[in-house]
Amino acid sequence: MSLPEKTNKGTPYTPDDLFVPLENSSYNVDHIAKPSVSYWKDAWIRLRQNKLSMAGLIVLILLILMAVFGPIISPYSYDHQVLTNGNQAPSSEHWFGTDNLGRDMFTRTWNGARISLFVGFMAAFIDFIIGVAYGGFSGYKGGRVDNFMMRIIEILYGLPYLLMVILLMVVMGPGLFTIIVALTVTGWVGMARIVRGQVLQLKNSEHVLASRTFGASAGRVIRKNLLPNTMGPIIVQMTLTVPTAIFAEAFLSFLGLGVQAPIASWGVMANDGLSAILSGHWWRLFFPAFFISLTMFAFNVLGDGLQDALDPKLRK
Amino acid sequence: MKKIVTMFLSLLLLIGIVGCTTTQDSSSNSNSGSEGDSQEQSSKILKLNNGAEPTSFDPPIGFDSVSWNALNNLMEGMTRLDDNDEPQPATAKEWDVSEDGKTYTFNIREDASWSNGEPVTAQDFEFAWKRLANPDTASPAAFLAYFIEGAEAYNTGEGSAEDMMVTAVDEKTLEVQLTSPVGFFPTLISNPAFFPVHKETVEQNPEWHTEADSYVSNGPFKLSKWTHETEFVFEKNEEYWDAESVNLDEVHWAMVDDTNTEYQMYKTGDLHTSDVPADLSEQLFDEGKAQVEDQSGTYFYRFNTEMEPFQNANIRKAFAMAVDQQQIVEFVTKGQEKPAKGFVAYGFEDPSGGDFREVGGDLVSTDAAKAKELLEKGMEEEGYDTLPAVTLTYNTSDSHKKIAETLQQMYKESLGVDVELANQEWNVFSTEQKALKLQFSRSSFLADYADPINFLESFQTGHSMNRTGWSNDEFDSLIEQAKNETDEEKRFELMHEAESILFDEMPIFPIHFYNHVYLQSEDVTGIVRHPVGYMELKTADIK
Amino acid sequence: MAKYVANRLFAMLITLWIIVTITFFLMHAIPGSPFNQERNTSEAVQRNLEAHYHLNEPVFVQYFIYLKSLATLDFGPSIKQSSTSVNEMIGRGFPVSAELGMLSLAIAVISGVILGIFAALKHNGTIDYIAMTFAVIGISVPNFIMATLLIQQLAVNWEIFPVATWSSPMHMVLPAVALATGPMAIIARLTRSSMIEVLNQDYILTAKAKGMSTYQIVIKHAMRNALLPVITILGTLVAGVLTGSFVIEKIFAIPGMGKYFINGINDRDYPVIMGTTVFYSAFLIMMLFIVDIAYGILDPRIKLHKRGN
Repeated sequence: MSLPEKTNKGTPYTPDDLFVPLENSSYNVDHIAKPSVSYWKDAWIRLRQNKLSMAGLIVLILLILMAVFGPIISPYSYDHQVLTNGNQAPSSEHWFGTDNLGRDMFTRTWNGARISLFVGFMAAFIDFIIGVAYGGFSGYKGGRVDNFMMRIIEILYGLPYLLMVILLMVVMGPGLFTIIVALTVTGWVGMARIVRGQVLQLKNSEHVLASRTFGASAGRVIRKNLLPNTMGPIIVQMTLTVPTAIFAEAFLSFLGLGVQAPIASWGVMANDGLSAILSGHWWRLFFPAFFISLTMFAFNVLGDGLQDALDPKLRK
Repeated sequence: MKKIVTMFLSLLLLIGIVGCTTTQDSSSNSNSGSEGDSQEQSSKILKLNNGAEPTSFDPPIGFDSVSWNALNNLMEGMTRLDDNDEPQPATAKEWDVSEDGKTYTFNIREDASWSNGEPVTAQDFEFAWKRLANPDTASPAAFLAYFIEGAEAYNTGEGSAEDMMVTAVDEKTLEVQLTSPVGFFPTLISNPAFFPVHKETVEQNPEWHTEADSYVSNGPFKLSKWTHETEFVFEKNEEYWDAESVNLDEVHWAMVDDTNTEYQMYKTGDLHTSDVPADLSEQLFDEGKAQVEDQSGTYFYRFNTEMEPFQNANIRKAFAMAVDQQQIVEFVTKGQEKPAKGFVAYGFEDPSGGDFREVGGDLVSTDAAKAKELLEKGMEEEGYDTLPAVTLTYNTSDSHKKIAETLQQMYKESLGVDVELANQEWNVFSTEQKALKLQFSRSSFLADYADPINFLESFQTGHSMNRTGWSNDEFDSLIEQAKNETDEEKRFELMHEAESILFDEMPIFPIHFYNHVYLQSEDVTGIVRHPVGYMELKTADIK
Repeated sequence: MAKYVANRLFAMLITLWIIVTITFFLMHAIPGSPFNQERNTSEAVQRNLEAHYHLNEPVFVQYFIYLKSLATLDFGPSIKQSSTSVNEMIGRGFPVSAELGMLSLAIAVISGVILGIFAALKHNGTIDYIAMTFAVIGISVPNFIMATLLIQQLAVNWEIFPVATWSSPMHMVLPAVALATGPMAIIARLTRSSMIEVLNQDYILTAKAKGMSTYQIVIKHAMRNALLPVITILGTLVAGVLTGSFVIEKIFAIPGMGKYFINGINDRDYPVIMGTTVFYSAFLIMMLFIVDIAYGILDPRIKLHKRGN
């Protein structure tokens, strides 16, 4: 019995040379029809679909543009007083009215926007960097390291902030940089605690274990596995930092830190305008308060969109 | 979904009910006090705001208005100021002054007694005044006693209590020897620092002044209730010698620290008087609702004469003359303050009946052109091509900021100088100002006793109120002479001379004189607010 | 577990001691004095005062004197209100602040969580938008503006509530609401975001597939996990709110702890600064500890008492 005989009996003979091996490179059974997109690009695509978030983004951009160009397009300067022209209601001449020293509120509002927006974003950004690094590391390492790092946070929480700030101002003198330092010196601990809590919760989940099994470094696991899954609370915390920073700046001005009069940030203007509610000069409180709220609102809806966009579990 | 909604709504309702019932429980205990009040609706109750918890009702300790405004009505010294700010016999029935004006003999009235029924004695006064100067008491007001012979030595630890020349001759006679003939001594001792204390009570219980139960007073009112940090209540003191003149039955003092809140409480009738929130003063003046009373004090700026460029008198003068006080008062502070063109406030009469300020006239005038000239002259003298940078520092507060911003603009417009502004937390500011670390800073002065010398002595060399580094021998000697001068006319001349030297040299420049702007219910009459001194409720009445 | 608690308690003492030490030297490093007055005081008087309160001694000596009295839990007398001890101040102020704090915290947590859950269930729906707008306003209107507006509207114009002071339950409503808006908004947002996340988890889908009602899913499965971030911030929130809010206390004339603390710093009333700081820190550390324990109980994935990974 031989093979050729057998073949002759029934099945047609197929010569070996008809079998062409597939080239390795075109071996794509799992071919994905969509082009491969990175995590961030995908997030952006999904963010763009969220109309409300885009509106928030546009408002933020407009606010920034107004902060840059508002004072320039106005015919008034932010510090020029016309004492006889104090507390004028909004009119075609002064769009936002004038303050108690007769200064144009429109110009002052956008001048203040520069400080408030800068301070708010910087504080949120720095809190984010320090908080995520610290909290992520602490939660990931766990054990003794975590314990120690959390005690440091407790100390920072416990120290009287006001004392630290007064010392800061005496040592460093007033200025924007001092404000940023004062805002972030303890500002990041909230973020750190949240990130740590999330990391503690997630670090034993399957995808993290899988990643670690493949030998991913701590940094990679935190960046690729843990952080994206923690984005929700982080973004919420960041959106909270912005208004907190804007108002904290007003409080710091009170201690003599930060930009000096006659420049006024939104927070300081809102503070000054408080007693103006009683006298009916509502515009002195309304405009700064309104723009703080608008910034907040824009930041929040953008944050919501970002949160959805960045959440890997919602990735389609 | 409906289920969830109903579920949560009922939960909310439940919380609401729980909340209400728990609050009702607590209401039954905490409201017992106010129920008591409503029973005596017919009685005359005045509702005032003290602003904060009194520092102390122990006379030598509570050296501030939150303590002394109230204390002034609990206790009474030898004298009391009348409606015209003149000292009238109070606990003292009368007093004699020796030829040289240095020895005072007080006779205490027979019917002066403490709220516990015991008579007020000269020993109580001797004890109280020596206690004021005692270094162990650590009274911040002790320097007021320095007019009494031996008090300063005792206070600084160089002398003893025995050498302080205040003696109870008998139960109702007190003799005091002064260091110099101080004509305003009867006014001075209307100050709460000189109030008597009940010797026996103080010796037995050092904590006597901390609670209403143990508090013993000799004034028109007695302390009947003191809920710390919340409120305290005065009741008419039936033991008071002049109880007949006291109209009010009770005075309730709230402790509201926020002017807006105070004003809102006034609007709803929770208070009978209120301060005026800054932004409202203009409106309330227009409506004729706000009232105004002079206060003896000056809002001013200090130059640091040890720092460039203010070592130069002409530059100092330039900075002073570039300021328009009238504009600041009219458009910035808006409290109907009087613009200040001298340092001593209005309200001090000289022997010929003239007002010290009016006789002294304007010692600094607003003149931009002259200011510019002086600045150039000063810069030439110092060899400056450009003026060294100037920073104006104020302690944080809205009202100080407004004035500082206005000054900044005035300097820019009339001198062409860009001044930097800086604000500091109050305690830091105060420390740095005293240490002469500030170049140009906001200041204020409120008189401790009603005499021009109190204003002027501040700028003697090395005086703790000087804070400018300024020193002038002629000025110092004029002040010394004025202090020892018995002839009033001459004394006033000396003080005028001293003030004009101060303004020739200009280590300071004034902005405005202080006043007190307030609202008061139309039902209330007879509250007296003195330019120097504390609130007077003895004759106050309410419809 | 017992060992973990013992360890933590010991660590707390160390933490507290570090806080005490840093605060002590910090407050002596900043310029100012409890006896600073704008008005005149003679130098002799100043020296008498300093000697009276041992402020003329070297800071190190003062530090050890303080530690000694602290060991017996005696915070010493206030300098400004010399007849009141700091212990008395805390004894007076804390109950008031705690009462106000509890009330506003209850408002904040209950309404915040409810808002958050609703918003999450109706993700991107009308309710979501309304709830979140509410939350944004709550965050971006600071409580001092909120308080002034509330008083002006509800107390002065409509006369529903009294303006200020602290004497009856009606007096507590406005300050509690003013104090609650901020935390409420924060809690609402946090709840919403973590709820959305949890609702997308597999086990929720499984539960849904099994036919559980939304209500059951929320209460039994989702809430427990969704509230973890809320609990994280609750620790600091509780400590902050219960030990008093200076601004609210000032506006409503409430005799709470926040006032002592801030006035203590403004006046450089050293014993008051130390006393309130120690009290606040101890309270806060305790809260953080409780939060950690609560975490362990609520989240089966976290095992606190095990060391290492």
